[in-house]
Amino acid sequence: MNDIFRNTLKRVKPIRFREPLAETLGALKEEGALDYNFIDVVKMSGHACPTVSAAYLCCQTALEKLYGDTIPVRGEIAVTVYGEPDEGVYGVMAQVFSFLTGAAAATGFKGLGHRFKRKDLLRFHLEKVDPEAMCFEFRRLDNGKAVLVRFYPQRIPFPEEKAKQLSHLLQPVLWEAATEEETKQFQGLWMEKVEHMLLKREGTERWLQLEERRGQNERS
Amino acid sequence: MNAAKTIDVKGLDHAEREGLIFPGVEALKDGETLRIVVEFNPVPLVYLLKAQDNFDISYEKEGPDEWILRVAKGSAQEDQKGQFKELLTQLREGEASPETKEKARTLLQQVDAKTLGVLEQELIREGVSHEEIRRSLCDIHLEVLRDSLVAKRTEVSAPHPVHTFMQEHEIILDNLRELGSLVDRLKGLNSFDGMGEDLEKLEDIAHHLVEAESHHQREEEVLFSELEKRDIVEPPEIMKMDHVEFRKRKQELYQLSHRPREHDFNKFKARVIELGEYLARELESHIFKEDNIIYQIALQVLIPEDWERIKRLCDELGYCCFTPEDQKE
Ligand SMILES: [Fe+2]
Ligand SMILES: [Fe+2]
Repeated sequence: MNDIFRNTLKRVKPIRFREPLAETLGALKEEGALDYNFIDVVKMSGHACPTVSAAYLCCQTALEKLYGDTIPVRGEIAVTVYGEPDEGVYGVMAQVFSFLTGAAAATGFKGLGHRFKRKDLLRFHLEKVDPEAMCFEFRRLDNGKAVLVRFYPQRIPFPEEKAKQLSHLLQPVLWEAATEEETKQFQGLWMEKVEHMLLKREGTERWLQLEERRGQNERS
Repeated sequence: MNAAKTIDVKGLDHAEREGLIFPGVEALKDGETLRIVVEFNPVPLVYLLKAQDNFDISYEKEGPDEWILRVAKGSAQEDQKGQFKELLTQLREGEASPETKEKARTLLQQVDAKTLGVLEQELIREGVSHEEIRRSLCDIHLEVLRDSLVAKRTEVSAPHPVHTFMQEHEIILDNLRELGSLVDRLKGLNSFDGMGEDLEKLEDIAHHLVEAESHHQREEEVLFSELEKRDIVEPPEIMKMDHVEFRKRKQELYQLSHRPREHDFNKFKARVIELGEYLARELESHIFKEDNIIYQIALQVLIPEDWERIKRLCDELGYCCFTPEDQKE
């Protein structure tokens, strides 16, 4: 297998899941959990950027809160996106949530008998919860526990000087006019922001906030 | 009263419908009436026919599962359209004589932008290729129609999206004028050093041109798609083909200007002159067509609610670095 991803991206803590559908249908040679790595998300999205990174972290922190020391179960998590599918980057983030949790939109798996239904576990909601934040709810279907994630993209720390350099380099890169050096510089700055979000994890609480939600059908 | 001829296009697809309706309308003689039976409300058709002035249009039946349109050809109106098409055909075939141009100009005093768009569509339907239209018809528009079109133009004020588009055009035109004079200066030079500040200036101009891509994107994804939804397909199609041509050349110019010294000066010079002259000429003419034809059709066809939606979608797509701040609000 070729392995050409940046090493730093490989150091991101994976999200561990159980996947009952794979267990039942025999895709696994033994019982066990599956690790979904950030690299897997990069493969799915086709790139790494602050939005994709934020989606990964939103999902990871929400699941840590919902499951504690136990292992999250794919297909037993419902996700509500408080935005429209084609609004801003809501759709891009939703795709990451869907890839990780198995929660699918209308195009998802309809299930086998009464089990494994993935369709409609991912929903888009028009109404906004917070005018400043992009909001997402992750809900456990087995016990009804839910968390609301608020993501404030504009609060992700990044030095103004570097942001300026990035936007300055964007056109030459997009129009394939950049020199080799400029391309490297651009990629370096881009990855710096991504790696800071994914690996440093300091000050994350400024731009990513969680709160527990009372569910209608919560059981304790 | 004469018995009206009836064309029933229920169950046919778009192309088949047009293939029956337009020749049918075309064949109408003064005082004759055509009944068109459709399974939906033929709003775009009514727009197109009304734009031609010499038809009297009324609904004989309005739904719910069948609409019948009566198209009566007036007798008083001269056949403006026929004359016009004949003129355009003459103009297309070669250098227009001053008399032909003058005739066209007089005729055009009575024609508005929408009729013009319709005429363009008809020529395409009759088998004139897009490319040919691009080359000849549009140039003729520019040459012959300039004054009368500008005179008939509807002006809107901020924050109307058309106002923003037109303001951006003004800025793009300024930039193109700078490009034009830079190209003229370049013609007399024989080294990069001789270019002095123009080397940097060229990069600014090229950067400005690629920044304008967001303007074209808003046109295509928002405004043109609204027109296409209303069956006004060909004029936006022509504009989009222009955008593709511009994009290729803007990219090459931008690449040349960003890394000039990687090239041999004479090759660099020849390319910059060719690209610069093309863009200065063609983009200017493109902008003229948009200001005076496409945007004008849009202003006639779209209603205030449409413009609100268009504004919102434009806001979401974002603006060029040079779009005046007050337009973005
Ligand atoms: Fe355009
Ligand atoms: Fe334009």
